Formats: sequence, C-alpha cells, structure tokens
Amino acid sequence: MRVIYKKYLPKEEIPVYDYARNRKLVKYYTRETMAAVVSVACLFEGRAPDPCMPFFYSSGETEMIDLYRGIGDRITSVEKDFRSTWFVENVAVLISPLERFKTMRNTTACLVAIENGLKGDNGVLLASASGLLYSAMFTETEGTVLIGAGKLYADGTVECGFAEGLPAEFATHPLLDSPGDAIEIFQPSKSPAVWPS
Amino acid sequence: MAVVITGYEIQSPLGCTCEESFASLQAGLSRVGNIQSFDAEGFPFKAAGEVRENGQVVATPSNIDRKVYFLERALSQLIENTTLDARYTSAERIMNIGTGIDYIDIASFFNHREYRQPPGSETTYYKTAAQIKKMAFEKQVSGGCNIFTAACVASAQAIGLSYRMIKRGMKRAILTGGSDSMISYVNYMGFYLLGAMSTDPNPATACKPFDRRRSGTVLGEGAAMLLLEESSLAREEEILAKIVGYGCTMDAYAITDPDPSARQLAKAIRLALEDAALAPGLIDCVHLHGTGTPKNAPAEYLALRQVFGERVAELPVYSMKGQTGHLVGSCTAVEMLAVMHSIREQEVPPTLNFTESDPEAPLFVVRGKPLSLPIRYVLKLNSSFGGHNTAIIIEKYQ
Repeated sequence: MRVIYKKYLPKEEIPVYDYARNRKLVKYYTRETMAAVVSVACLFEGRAPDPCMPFFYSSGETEMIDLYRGIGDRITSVEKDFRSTWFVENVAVLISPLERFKTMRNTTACLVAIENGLKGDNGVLLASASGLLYSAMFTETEGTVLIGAGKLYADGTVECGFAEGLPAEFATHPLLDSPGDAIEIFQPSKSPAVWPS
Repeated sequence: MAVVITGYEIQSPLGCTCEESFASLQAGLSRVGNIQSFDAEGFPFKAAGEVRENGQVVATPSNIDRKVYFLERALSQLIENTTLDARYTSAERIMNIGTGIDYIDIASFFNHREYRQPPGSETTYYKTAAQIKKMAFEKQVSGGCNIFTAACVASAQAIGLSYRMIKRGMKRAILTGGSDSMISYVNYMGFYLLGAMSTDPNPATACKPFDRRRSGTVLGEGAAMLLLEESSLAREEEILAKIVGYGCTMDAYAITDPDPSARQLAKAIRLALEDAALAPGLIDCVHLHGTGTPKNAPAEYLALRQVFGERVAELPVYSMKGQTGHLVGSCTAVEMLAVMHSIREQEVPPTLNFTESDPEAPLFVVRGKPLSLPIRYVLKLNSSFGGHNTAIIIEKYQ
C-alpha cells in the first residue's frame, strides 16, 4: 500500500505547474484539484498508472463562499424585496461557465483521471469514508486500486490524500463502517496505525 | 443467489406514485413546461421538467431544497410500501444515494442579507451531505449512508455499488437511487450558461433525443428509490426484477465532451455483459442516456455499434428525457421506471419528440407508439459531464 497526504494552508502556493501535464486544463482547477493532481503525481513518482486501474474519489463539500460574497456585494441598502429580474441583471453575470465547472462535485476526479489516463472502474462520492472504502473493496477489476479524498475549506486551506492498494487492504481499514469524512482515511492523526508516516 | 429489486418509489415530472408515473409514461404525456416552482421572469430560457402530482407542479417554499424534499418523500414511500421494517433491523439497512450540487436559497439570502453559515443555525446555504445523513438517521437507516456525486451518473454509481455489495455477500437491505433538482435560481442559470440547453423555445418539444434537429437538453428534477436485496432474503411475491450486470468506465478525454470514439462507453457495456455472463445477442432493448445534446447521440450510437455490430439497426432504443427533461444526479434512478415498464409490459416506449433520424446516429428509435416484443434483458446506459460511463443490465424475474 502506498499512501500520500498533503495539506496546503490559505494562500500557500500549490506547485501544480511543476506536475500538471495538461497545462491548458489548469484553468478548470480549484485548489482541491491542484492539490489532488500534485498528490497523485507524487504518489506515482513518474510511473504511469495502468489505464485500467479503478479510481474512486471523495470530495468534500464544495464551498461557494466566493459566489456568496459576490452576491452580497451586489445587494444594496436601497433594494427591498427579492425579484427574479434583479437576479438576472445582477447575479447571473457573476456565474461564469468556468466557475460552474469548478462547483461540479466530480470535476476534481475527472481532471485527475484525464491527467493520469485513468479509464477504469470509478466512482465519485461526497465526504463518505465508508462508501469510498466499500467502492474500492468491491471493484471487479483485478490489481491495485487508487482511492483519494480532498477537502477545500472556506479560508482556502485544502487537504488531500491518496492511496494505491489492493481491494483486500481497504477491507481492513478501521473507518470501513464509519460515518466519517473520507479525508479522515488519509489524515495521519486519524489513522496513524494504518498509514505509514 | 441473485440481486433483486423488491421496491421502487418515485417523485418525478411523471407523477408522485409509481402508478401515476407509469400511466403518464404510457400516455406519452410531455411533462416539460415553463418553470412554475419559482418566478423565472427575465430568464432567457424557462423550460423544465418539474415534479408533478396529479398533473400539477409541486410547489415548495424557497427555504426548501427540492432535491432533499423529494428524496424524503420517495424514501418514506419506500419504507411504507415495502416489508423492509419487518425484516431488517436499522443496522442492516444501508442507503446509497446519487445527488447533485448544493442549493442556495437566493431569495432568503437577499431578504435577510445573510450569507455566512452560523454553525447549527438556519442557513440559506443547504449542505446536501448533512441533510441526507440526518434523513437516513431519522428513517432508521444506520448501516451506512453513502452519497454519490458524479453528475449524470451519480445514481447509476449508487445503484452499481449497492448491486456489488449484495452480490459480494452483504446480507443487507440497500435503499438506493437518487434525487436531484437544479431548478432554482443559481443552479438553473449556471447550467444554462454551460451551453447545454436546447434552443427550441417550445418547452414541450425542446428536448429531442436522437432527433436530427436536436439542439440541447432541458433540466428536470425528481427522485426515485429502489430497494435491493439478496434473493434468498426477499419475499418472492415482492420481486420486481433482477440486476445482473454492472460496468463503469471513464473517458479521461475532456471535462466538457464525451469521447467521440465512444470506446470507453462500449467498454462499460462489455463489462456489464461480462459481469452478467451474457452474450450481446441476448439484450432485447437499450434504454439510452439520450440527452438531446448534439454530441450525445453519435457517441451512444458508436458504442452500441462496437458491441452489437450490424444488429444496432434493429435493436430498439429509448430515452425518457424528451418527456421529463434531464434529471442529472437522479436520472438513472428515475429512468428505471421505464426499464420496469419495459419488463412489466413487454414493450419499448416511444421516445417523445423523435421524428427525424440522424444519419450520424442511425439508431432504431421507437416512435409514435410502443413496440411490443418479448423482453428479458434490458441494458440501461448513462454518461456524464466529465466522462463517466455506466451500464446496468436488468433481467425480468421469472
């Protein structure tokens, strides 16, 4: 089993351009995606993963604080009751297609798959540690499986973890039947006995 | 041992019970109209397939996240209308759900000037995972709650994991399916700006799956829940159908478009056939994703051609989206209604709004009236933004 866990603090630069092969896609990257692309590159250390390798990823709740702040800035003290036309004139212009892709919950998983040519069995989950581990355990593909989780916080902090292992190795993880967040699978403080430091 | 479906409940543009939904499906009623569940004045496009009960759009206050509301209703119906309570403890129940992006109550946000999220208080920003997990707890589903979010295949992946869990020996009742609604200010406008919506201004004809004149899709909303069990634990008289195969692949091609070669979609079909130990010739009909977007139909045609060869010209296909719109995170679960219909009635329904065949996707699309034929195996395909592909094979229980 190979495991990697990374955490980037608010405003800390994520060295995505040192690792991303498809640089033109970086415009679609959130900080979570940047951390994920860097983490997977570090996990494989230049080795090309088998395209058939199953890949399951669990994202954290998407934070749309920037959009909220933008909307808040548009509301003036003279505005009274909400109207659809106010929304169309003031808020719709804030919603760019590019930002829309970033708020889709499967974007990080898709971009990691594109970056690494992963075309096998897959699944994208929201937060669930249990679902991520069961997905890896029950894949029908032989060989190793890649699992990962990311979490982006409102202040810009991002956590990310990945592991490559055999399905049977995931079956013994203590978070298998946990209601916890998938990122906990990779946090050394939450799973010290399972993952090497 | 087999994986069987022993319960199915639905909240959809076709209706809020199975019987109402089956009747609307069979009657070929279009359930796409201009948005009624919120004031969409000024919107450049207003077509949507909203959840209807007795033909009327279900209205909810703006502080309700409609995808959570419809999920709660479908889940309650499933628990009420099956014998789940009598046969499985709370710890023996697992919920695997597909859903979509978060809901923002823009009207409350505006009126209260509140956009922070005080922990534990009423907020205008609805956290999907927290709400669904709370619902599972309240409905006494304590064996696990797993939420899938791969856009248009979210509920297919939820059903796929549920199938694998039972197939691999978990003696559990699995409540699976999906719920989604993007029919709200921010989410509807965001989807519109992606450029995937139809350009046909008439809501009833806007979504034209497989048709040469198709120009895009229309958003729909709704929820559907299935109860999956191992056949030896199920009551035979409650078995609706069997799930016998599942395959899932990734294009790894582009974030916006399907791989035009459709190789990975074809591979998902082959994996499902292999899982079911079936030859392609045994598939009787295919319920496709059929979004009505220009790029979807040729990709689905090419995938079928790679697997079924010349037989693609006579293999009947269907899409529900002309009738309901595209339900995104819940589309597979809701479209299972039509799969059940095909198995129950031994017919393939006509695809609404399909009139002109596309030379780039010369599929055998049933039009006008249902096509009757003996149906044992139905192949259900779905694909999503980002390139996920799923194939599920459903067998008539006999």
